[in-house]
Amino acid sequence: MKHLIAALSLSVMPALAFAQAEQEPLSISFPTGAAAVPAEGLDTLDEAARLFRAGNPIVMIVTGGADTVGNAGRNLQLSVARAQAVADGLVARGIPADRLQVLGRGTTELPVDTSAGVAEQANRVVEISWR
Amino acid sequence: MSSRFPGVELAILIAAALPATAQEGQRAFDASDFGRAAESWRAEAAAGSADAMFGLGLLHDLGLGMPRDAAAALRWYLSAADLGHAEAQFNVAVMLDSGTGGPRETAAAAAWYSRAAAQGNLRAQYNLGLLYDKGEGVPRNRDLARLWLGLAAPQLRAAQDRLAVLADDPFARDLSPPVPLGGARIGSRAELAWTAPPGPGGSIFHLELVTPEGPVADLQTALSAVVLPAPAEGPLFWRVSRIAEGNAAYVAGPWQAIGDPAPPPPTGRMRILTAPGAAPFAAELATAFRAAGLPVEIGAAVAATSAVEHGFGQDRNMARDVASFLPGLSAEDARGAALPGRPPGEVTVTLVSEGS
Repeated sequence: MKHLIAALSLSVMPALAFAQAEQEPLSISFPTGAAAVPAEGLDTLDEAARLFRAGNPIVMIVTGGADTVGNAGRNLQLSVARAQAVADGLVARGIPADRLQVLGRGTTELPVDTSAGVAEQANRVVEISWR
Repeated sequence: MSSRFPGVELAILIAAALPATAQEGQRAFDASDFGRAAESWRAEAAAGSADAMFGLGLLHDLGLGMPRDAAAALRWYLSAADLGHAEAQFNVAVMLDSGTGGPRETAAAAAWYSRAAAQGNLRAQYNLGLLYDKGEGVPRNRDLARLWLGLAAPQLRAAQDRLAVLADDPFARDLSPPVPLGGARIGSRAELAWTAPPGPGGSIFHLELVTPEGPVADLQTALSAVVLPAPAEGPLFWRVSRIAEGNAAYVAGPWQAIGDPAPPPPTGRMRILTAPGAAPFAAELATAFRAAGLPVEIGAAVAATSAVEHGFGQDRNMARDVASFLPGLSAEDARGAALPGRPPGEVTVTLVSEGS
């Protein structure tokens, strides 16, 4: 039985491997109201330093968000500040600033759809993606 | 063309005859003409250009003008890395570190980070510092983490920040041998990398690079990777030892061979210091010991009497054997001496003939 399963996964593998060649975006979550990268986030920044190759001409997009607790205007500013903090962390690790885009999307396009005033960690996140 | 400036004519003729340089592929790439870049770079890579191999790696890595293929990217980066291309070495390390384009191999990643770091690549220095801090792919070693982060710190703020919070390892009680990570000769330089757990306080690495005939370099360093000049051809051997504080003792790693086919590794090291009158005899002695597998260095004697000395207590037997082999001396004439900076395992023979 084990051999059958192994053989099956081998035939499926090539297709999976190709899809997985596209790396998942990295994300860093923030405590409520904070825009400084927390300690656990520093590990994710180091993960980025150990993932991004040199000579990479692609664009890296750093997108900040906020949950729906508090004023929308303040949340927009917060999301921008968070994204900038993460971008600064990437630059501090030698990832070139001239490849970065920094974006704050406020409380638009929430990863987890909530009504107003809901604290949701998954929404207080900065994502690092690239193309 | 005017014949008044023959040098210029010649230069123009030569330029016209050269094949497309690595710049043609780069120009196409910069203009986003990825098909043309691939075509030029393939030709240049076949002619041995490391920059072109690196460029092909980028095209495959990012799927520019072709489907993304991380495995192919890694192969191209590896070709360039083997030729000493520091950015390619860094990219190979990152891919092995993250398991992209192949399985995750942190020890191999550390080896490639080390080689790029020795060439001054900042991000490699930072990542290597991280690996040493966490003990991933290499033994945890905060001394080495501190040194590599320290090299990157002037230009990478994150390295400065991490240095500020780096813990200290307790000193080891025992001297442990360094472990080679990788070494290669590219043209007339050698890139050498090794690793080790923390050593006792005051201990240092001693790196030996030799040919079967004699030394190329002896270097003491606290770092774990270097680039140094080396003869472009012929067999080369290298070895890293750990020397205890005050030269009290050493423990040697294994000899590594560079260049195929390699003769057997050295059986020891010798230095002959000779007064002018004893030079012919010194030359004969050197030949004999080289035939026995010892690289021999010959220099000028400063002492007034003949002697056979060893810098480390543990090399006493070797020194006694050499002394008993020499005419007019016996094993009892071998003595320990303070010889700071001399390589472990080396015996120093001073030859001062009568009346010279």
